[in-house]
Amino acid sequence: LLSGDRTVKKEIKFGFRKTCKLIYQYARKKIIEQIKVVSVIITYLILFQTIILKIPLADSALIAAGIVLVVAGLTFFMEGLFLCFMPLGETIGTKLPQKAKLVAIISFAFILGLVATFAEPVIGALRLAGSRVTAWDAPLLFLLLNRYVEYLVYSIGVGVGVAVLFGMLRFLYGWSLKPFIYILVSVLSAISLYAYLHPNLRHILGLAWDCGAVTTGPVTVPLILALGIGVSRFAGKISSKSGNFGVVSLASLFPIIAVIIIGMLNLSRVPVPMGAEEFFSKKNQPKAAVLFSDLDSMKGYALKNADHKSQLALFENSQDKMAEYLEKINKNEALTKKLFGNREAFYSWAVKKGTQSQQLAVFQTQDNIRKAVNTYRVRGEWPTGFNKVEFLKRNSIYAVRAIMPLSIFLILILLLLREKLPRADEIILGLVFALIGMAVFRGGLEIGLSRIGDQVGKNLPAIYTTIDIPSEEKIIQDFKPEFVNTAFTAEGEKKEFFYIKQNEEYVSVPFKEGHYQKDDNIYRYIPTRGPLFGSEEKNIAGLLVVLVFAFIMGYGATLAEPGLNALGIAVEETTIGTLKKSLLIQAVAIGVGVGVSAGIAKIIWNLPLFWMLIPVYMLLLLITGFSTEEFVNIGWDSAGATTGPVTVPLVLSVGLSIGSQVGAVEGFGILALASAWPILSVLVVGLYINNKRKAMLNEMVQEEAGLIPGGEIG
Amino acid sequence: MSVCPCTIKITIIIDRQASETVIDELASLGIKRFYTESGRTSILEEKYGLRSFLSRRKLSNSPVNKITFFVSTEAEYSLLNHLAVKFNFNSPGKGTIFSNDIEWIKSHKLCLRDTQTINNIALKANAYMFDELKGLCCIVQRGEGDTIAKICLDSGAGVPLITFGTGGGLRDNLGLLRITIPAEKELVNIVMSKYDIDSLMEIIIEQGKMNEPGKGFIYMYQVRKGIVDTKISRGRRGQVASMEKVVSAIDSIKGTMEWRKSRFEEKINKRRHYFENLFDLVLICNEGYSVPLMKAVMAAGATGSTISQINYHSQSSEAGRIPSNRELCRTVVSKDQVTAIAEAVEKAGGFSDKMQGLMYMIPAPKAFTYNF
Repeated sequence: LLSGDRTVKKEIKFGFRKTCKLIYQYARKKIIEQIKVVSVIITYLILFQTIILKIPLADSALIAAGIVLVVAGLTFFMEGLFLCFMPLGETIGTKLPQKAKLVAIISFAFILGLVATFAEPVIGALRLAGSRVTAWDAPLLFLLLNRYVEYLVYSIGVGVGVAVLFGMLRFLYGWSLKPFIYILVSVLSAISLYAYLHPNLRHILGLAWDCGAVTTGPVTVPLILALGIGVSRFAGKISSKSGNFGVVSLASLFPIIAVIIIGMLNLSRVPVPMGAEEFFSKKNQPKAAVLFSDLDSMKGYALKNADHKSQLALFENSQDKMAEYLEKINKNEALTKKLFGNREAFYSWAVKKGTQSQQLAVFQTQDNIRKAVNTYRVRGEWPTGFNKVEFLKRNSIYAVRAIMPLSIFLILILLLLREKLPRADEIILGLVFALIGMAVFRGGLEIGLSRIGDQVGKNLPAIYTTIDIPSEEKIIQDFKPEFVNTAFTAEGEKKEFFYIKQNEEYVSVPFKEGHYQKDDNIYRYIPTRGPLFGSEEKNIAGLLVVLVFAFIMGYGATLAEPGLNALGIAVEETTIGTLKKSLLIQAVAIGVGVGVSAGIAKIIWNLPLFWMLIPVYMLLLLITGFSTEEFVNIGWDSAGATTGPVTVPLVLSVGLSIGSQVGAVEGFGILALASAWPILSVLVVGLYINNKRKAMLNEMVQEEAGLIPGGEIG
Repeated sequence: MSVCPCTIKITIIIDRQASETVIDELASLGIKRFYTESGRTSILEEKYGLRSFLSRRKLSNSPVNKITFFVSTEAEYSLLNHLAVKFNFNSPGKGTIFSNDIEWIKSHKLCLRDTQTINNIALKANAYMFDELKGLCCIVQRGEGDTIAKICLDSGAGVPLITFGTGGGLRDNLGLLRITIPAEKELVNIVMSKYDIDSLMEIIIEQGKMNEPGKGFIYMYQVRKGIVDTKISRGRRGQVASMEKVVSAIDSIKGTMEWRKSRFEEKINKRRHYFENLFDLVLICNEGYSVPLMKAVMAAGATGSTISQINYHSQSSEAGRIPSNRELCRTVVSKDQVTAIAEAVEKAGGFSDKMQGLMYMIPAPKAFTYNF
């Protein structure tokens, strides 16, 4: 080997079999890594659904395909990160300060923050969390999530931009992160208190704090980390080993301020929260109209979301005017599309939500109404149609949007610096991997993980209450009223029921009038479940089980977060393995678990977010004071890195499902809590490690001085 | 070839928090140019009671800095002694200090300046300095470092230093297929008694499965003198003094480590084919240039290289002319390859103002890797 082989080696060409073997080994290792990462959450959710809730998994074939896609997508995506984004970020981080002036560095940082925010799908998650928010309960929140959603995105973008800017300055001048945290958290607490006491601003608190949690996603986090590593390598000080991190923390604090500010700026335009009827009244209409792009949208919104009395208020309390308007919608194809999406949705709405007079206005005759009821009521709640072309298109566009603008921007910067792309072939391959990975991963999440999450989330209330399971709906043909029996409760109340045969048992089920269609002799039987724990509604035992479920779900989902994995690897790299990736991820995952539980508790008992969040942050400030710079940086960064594409949809679907059971207005706050608690857990681990190191040094000092007698020490 | 009068390299491995004071002390002694590299040291943590259920001896890592600088032969002993007394290296657990003989090959003019003028050092006390030392460097895949470290600790050899690096070699000639072979490496370094080092090398090869393809590379290098850290474990003890302390006391009484020799002699049984009489060739250059330079080195006959990121610190007035971010490339070659490699590096611009390279070598009597 080392002896005399001096022939100059150029490219080595392996045979086909050897090449395949190399690729196989490499792919196998990477795939196994990702299987390990996602197996916890997937196994947990499936087992929970089938063993604890005892509800079979619907669409299991699609879900299985989805899981395969998630694993494949993650494998490609992570590899893409390591081949493309992290080297690119690190190169720019080292080269930029060498070649550019301070102004250029600052502008670069700011623009990077902006571009990164537009690439991340922040708004989808926030809109989902706010999907149950009504215009009259929280007008300001409604405005920001709907008509002014662009302003919301811009403000978040500016927040992230400012954060990256300060982050770069920090590295260049070696500033500590602690003062930033002290100042930002104090300011945040103060304006949060102000907002909390304000009737309208109060509702955007959850939105603002959640923005902080969701802004930094799986592309931004690794990129910013790598950039930080690069810049601080340039600044290179002996003791500033901690200085590689901290930008992500800033990027999750600044946007909160930005969102509250944008809320304050729009405060004077919106009406105060009020009842729906008052909201839609003639007197309030000019103010209420601000929330909608035009009067038609407002009317459509009222029809879909408000109760009948409030709808009437909008039509000046005249049934005729409302009927007239409904007929107009029915005739005007464009208007139907604008307000309801399509005709089916419009009819379905009329059947399910419309009053007698509204149905009459839509369908004209009683006969038509009866037909429509038959078509639209019997059909299950959710059409499970799956459009492959749409699916492919949607996820590919998503991936391109999330990855291309950022990478083009970075490559342009490198060209501006007149730097060659280091290992250009690897970077381009990485880019392709990242694109494929992102598209496949998102697709997998959509049909796999999110589907299980939705099912478990929807069925979760069965733990403490009785729920219907529409997916197991059965149509009983030739049902006759003679089958129905009557029973009496102790109070003398009449209850109707009939028997069905389930496996080998004969079970009595309550008879529900609405499910029986006399004309066709059909009975729609929807099985029910629960409460599985305890007997009464909303009992403590059941709710505790829900909280434990939330903890394990938060924990498992966090293990699979790509952003956190990238952080873990960066931490292990910069600490030369003294802080292992696995330890960091475990600490963060436990923190997220606690945070998700706290968030679900907030929703169940309708606790004010302010009082759940601010004490945690106060405690964090205290512990930050005691912690070393290294752990302060890593701990606060993990807050931004955790809530990503795996956790967010799962947590929100569970939160919203519980929320709709208990009648909560919005699902905000869970994400904020899920990113506050991991900071705490990481800082605590940091304190433990530092104490151990100190104890070790002390042990040596004492030993030297001969202070330790025979026997035990700690 | 001009020769730098500083033919001694001194290496200090010390806890990161203590490294600031070491650097201040070096500055006050007149040593104003040095390199640092971050790494970690591992020691065994003994667990008792319930906590020992899973594993009784667990590795416990702590962050350290490796500080290196060059001095002349005359200054060597007094410096070593002064630093050893000042930072109490004789007490186990404080760190490691040792010196190597180096042979300069070539260097950019800024790197090859005068000898560092060392202020006069008054000999206050004598530290017990050992002459019979040798070092082992084991380059393995990232993640395998702990395995090797544990072997070192379990065999009682001493406290290993682990640093990170990226490997080159076969990988770089594969085109895009190279991504299938991870480049990230861990370097495990241990300096210990030369009487035991052959056995330890054998044990590492055996237990670390270095005789299998793709597992890594191990070589032994010459060390002049120094003090090594012998605190290999912490936890509950039953004696008045820890075993490490007893060992180090006997070492210093005897003035040699030879008495410890027989510990694992019986384990040597196989006859292995070692590569012998090699040199550990080190090239330090500015960041970003090591990859093209190593390509040139490979073309000139070397078979593999490892690149580590290090920082250069200069407190003299010419600061800034050599940037702080430097890269250290090491490759192990035979004597007759050295000239060709030096020429190749020169040709590739390694000693130009852009790359500001410096190149030296340390004798490496023995090396082993899987042989095709």
